[in-house]
Amino acid sequence: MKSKTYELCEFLTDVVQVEKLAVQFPHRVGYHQSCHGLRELRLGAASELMPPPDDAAVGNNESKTHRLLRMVEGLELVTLERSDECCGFGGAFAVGEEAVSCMMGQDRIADHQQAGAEVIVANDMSCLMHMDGLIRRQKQNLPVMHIAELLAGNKLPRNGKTQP
Amino acid sequence: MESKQAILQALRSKPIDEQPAPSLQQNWAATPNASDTFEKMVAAVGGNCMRVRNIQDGLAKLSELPCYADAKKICSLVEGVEKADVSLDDIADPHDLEDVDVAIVRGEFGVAENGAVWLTDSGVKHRVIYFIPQHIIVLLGAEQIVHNMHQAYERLRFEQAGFGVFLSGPSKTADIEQSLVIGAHGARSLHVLLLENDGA
Amino acid sequence: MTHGVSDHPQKAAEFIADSQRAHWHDGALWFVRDKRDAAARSVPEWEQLRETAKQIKAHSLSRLPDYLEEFERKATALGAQVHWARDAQEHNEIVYGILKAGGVRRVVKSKSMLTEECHLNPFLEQHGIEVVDTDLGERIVQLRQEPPSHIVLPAIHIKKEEVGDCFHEHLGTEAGATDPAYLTEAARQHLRERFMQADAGITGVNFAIAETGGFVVCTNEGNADLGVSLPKLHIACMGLEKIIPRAADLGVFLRLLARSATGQPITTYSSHFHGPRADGALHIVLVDNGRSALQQSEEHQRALSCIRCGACLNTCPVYRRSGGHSYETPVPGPIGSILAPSRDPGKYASLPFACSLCGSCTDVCPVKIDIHHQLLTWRRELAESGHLDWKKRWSMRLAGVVLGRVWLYRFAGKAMRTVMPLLPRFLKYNPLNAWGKQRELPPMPRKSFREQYRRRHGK
Repeated sequence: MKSKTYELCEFLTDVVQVEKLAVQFPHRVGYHQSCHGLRELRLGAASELMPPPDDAAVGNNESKTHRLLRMVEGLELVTLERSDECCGFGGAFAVGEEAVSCMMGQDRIADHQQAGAEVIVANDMSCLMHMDGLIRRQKQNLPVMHIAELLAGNKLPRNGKTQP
Repeated sequence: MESKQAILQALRSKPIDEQPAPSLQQNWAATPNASDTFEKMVAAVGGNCMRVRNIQDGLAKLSELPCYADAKKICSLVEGVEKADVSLDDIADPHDLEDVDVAIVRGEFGVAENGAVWLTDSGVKHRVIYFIPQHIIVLLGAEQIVHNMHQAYERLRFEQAGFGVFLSGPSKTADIEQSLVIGAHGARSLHVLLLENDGA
Repeated sequence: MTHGVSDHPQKAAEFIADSQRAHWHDGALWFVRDKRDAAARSVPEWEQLRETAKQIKAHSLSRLPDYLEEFERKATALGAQVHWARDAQEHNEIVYGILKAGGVRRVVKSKSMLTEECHLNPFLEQHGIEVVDTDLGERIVQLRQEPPSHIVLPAIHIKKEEVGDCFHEHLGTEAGATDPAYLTEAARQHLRERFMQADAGITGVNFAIAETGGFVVCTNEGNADLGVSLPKLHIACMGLEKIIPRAADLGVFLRLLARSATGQPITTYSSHFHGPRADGALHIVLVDNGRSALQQSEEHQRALSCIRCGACLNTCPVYRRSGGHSYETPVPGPIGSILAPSRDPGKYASLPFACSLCGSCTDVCPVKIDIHHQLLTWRRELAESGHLDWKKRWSMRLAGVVLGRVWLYRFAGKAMRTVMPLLPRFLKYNPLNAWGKQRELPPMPRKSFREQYRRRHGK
C-alpha cells in the first residue's frame, strides 16, 4: 500500500511530473511545512539535516510543494524566521498539552504575520484546523488554505469563506 | 565484585546480535590550508594566533603581549624566557601555582578544524599549569597542524598512564543568559605563537 | 522512588502562564539551535559523521559487557581503581566510602548528569561532606537550591537579574548588578577559593575508551581540570553506556558533540585521563541504574547511544516553551522522556505525550536516535501496561472503536455535521473541551468529502 500511496504534491511532482501550472494567485503566501510531510514523508529537506555540499536546493529548505508554488503566477512566498517549526497540533497533543500546543500555534501564526503573509498554506489539514481555530478565536484576518485549494485555482478566502 | 557480576549477567541475559564497527578510514574533508584555517579557528574560539619565523622571534614577540608585559609571576616550560621566575620542578604542591599570571608552554600539535592544541603532562610535573594561570601562551610548530580530529587521533597513542588535553581557546562560559564571557575558571586569554621554523 | 506523579501538561501550563518569560526561554534555546545549524553546516560530511557515530554506538552497545571488562582491565593496569554500582544508592555509597577513606571534607564537582540522576549531593551533605558544583550554571542552580533545567545549559531558565540577586545574597556582589561579565568574575573568585580548599574532585565522563582504559571529560570553563589537578583524589562517575571501543572513535564524537550542543567546533577543554596523577589516586565508578534493562530492550536500546549534547532539547518546540523543570527528571526534553519512564513508568507516564511528534529531535540528534518514534512506542507500552490516566484511556478506546468501523465513522461524521451547527455556543465550549479553550472548532461543512465526490462524479 505504501508504494501506491502518495501525498498530493509528491504525486504532482514525481508521478504526473507537472512542469507548468495555469494558476494565478497574486498574493504573499506563507507556506507552513507540516512535520509529517517534511520529516516522515520527506517531501523536502528538514532544516536540521545538512545537505551534501553540491546540493544547493536542499540547503534552502526547499520542498516539492515549494516547487509547485513557484509555478503559480503572481505568487510570492514570504520568508519565515523559522522555516519548519511545528505548529503544535500533534493529534491528541492538541488537547493533552493544550497550553504548549496553543503557544506553538500562536508563535507560528505570528511568524507568518511578521513575514507579511496574506494567507497560510499547508499540505496538512490538521495543522490548518489548529492554526485557523486560533486565528478565528482572536478575530485576526489571516485566512488559511490547503495546498489543493490553491493549486485548484481557488481565490484568497474572504471573511472566512472559500472563494472558488 | 558481586555487583560487577550482577551487572555483566544482566547485560548478557539476552544475546544481542553484534553490530559491526564502522571503518574510520573515510573520505573526511581536508581544510584548504591547515595552518591558515588553524589561525582563523584560534581566533574564532576566542584566542589569538600569531605567526613568527622561529623560536627566537617568538620569544622576542612575548614582550609585545600585554599579559606578559604586566605579569608578576611567569612559569615557562620553554627555555629562554627572560622573565620566567617560577620553575615547575621546584614546586612541591600544585596549589602553590595559584598566583602564576602567565604560563608559557609547548603544544605538540594543532587541529585546523577547531583551533585546538594538544598538550600533555609528559615531562610536566604539575598539569594544573595548563589550567591555573591567568593567561596561557602556547608555542607550536606550524608544520604540526593536522586538518581534522581524525588525523589528530592517528597521531595519538595512549599506551602509558598520562594526561592530555585538546585546548581550544581561553576558558569561557555562556551560562548567564547565553552571554559569552571569556575567563571562567581557566586562562583568561590564550595566545598561540606559530613557529614557521621550529628548531625543536 | 515514586514521589507523586509527574504532570507535564500542568507544569507546562504554569510555565507558559508567564508568556513573556516562556517566549524569552524559547528564544534563548532557538538561538542555540541556530548556532548548532551554522556549526553543522560548516562540516561538509556532517551526515556521514552522524551515521558513523550511530554505527559506533550500535556496535558498542552490542558488545557492551565485553568492552566494560576490557575497560576495567586496561584502566586498572594504568593504576586506576574501578568500581561497579548497580543503582544510585550503591553509587552514592561507593563515592562516600572513597571520600571517607581519604578523610575528605570538601569536594569540588564538575558537571555530571549521572550524579544528578543519583542525587549524590544531598547524600554526601547528609554525611557531612561539602559538595560544590563548579560549573557556573550548576553553581547558580545549586545556590538557588533547585535542579538544573538543561543538561548542557543548567541555568538557561534563569535571568541575569535573578543571577544578580542570587550572587548578591551568597557571594556579596553589588545589589542590582546584572552584567554577565561582572557576575562571572565574581563566581571565578568565589570558586577559585573552593578549588584551593578542596580535598577531592569529582567529574563525570563523556567517553570511556575500552582499548586504552582512559576517559574523556569535556568542559568549556576548565572547572573539571582545575578540580582534579589540585587535590590528589579524583573520582570519575560514569553510566555504563559511555563506553566506546577505540580512541580513534573520539575523532567522530568530538567533532559532533560541541557543534551539536552549543555550535562550538569543540569544547575549550577535552581532557584525556589515563590513570592517576603520579602523586594521586583515580577511582572510576561504573553505574548501571536501569541501563542494563534498557540495553536489553530492543525498542529502547538505542536511547543508550545518547552523548548528552542537549541538541534535542534545544530544538524541541515543547521543551523550549515548557522549561526543563516541567519534566521533573534530571534529563529533561525528548531524550529524557524516553529514559525517565524506563526507570519509573508510573511516575513519568505523561512525558512521552509531551511531544507533538514533529520529529525535529530525531533529525538533529548527532547519533541518529529515532527519538520521536521511541516516544510513540512508549505511548503504546504505557497503554498496554496500564499506566495511562482515565481520560487518555477512554478517549483512545473510543477513538479505536469509531475509527475501526467504517459505518460508525461515517455515522459519527454525519451526526457531527448535523448537530454541531445547531448547538448553542456554551454547550460546545464547555470546560471539558480543551480544544475550545483558546481555539474555535472548525466550521462544519454540510457534506463530507465523500458525499461531494459522489455527487460530482454521479456515483
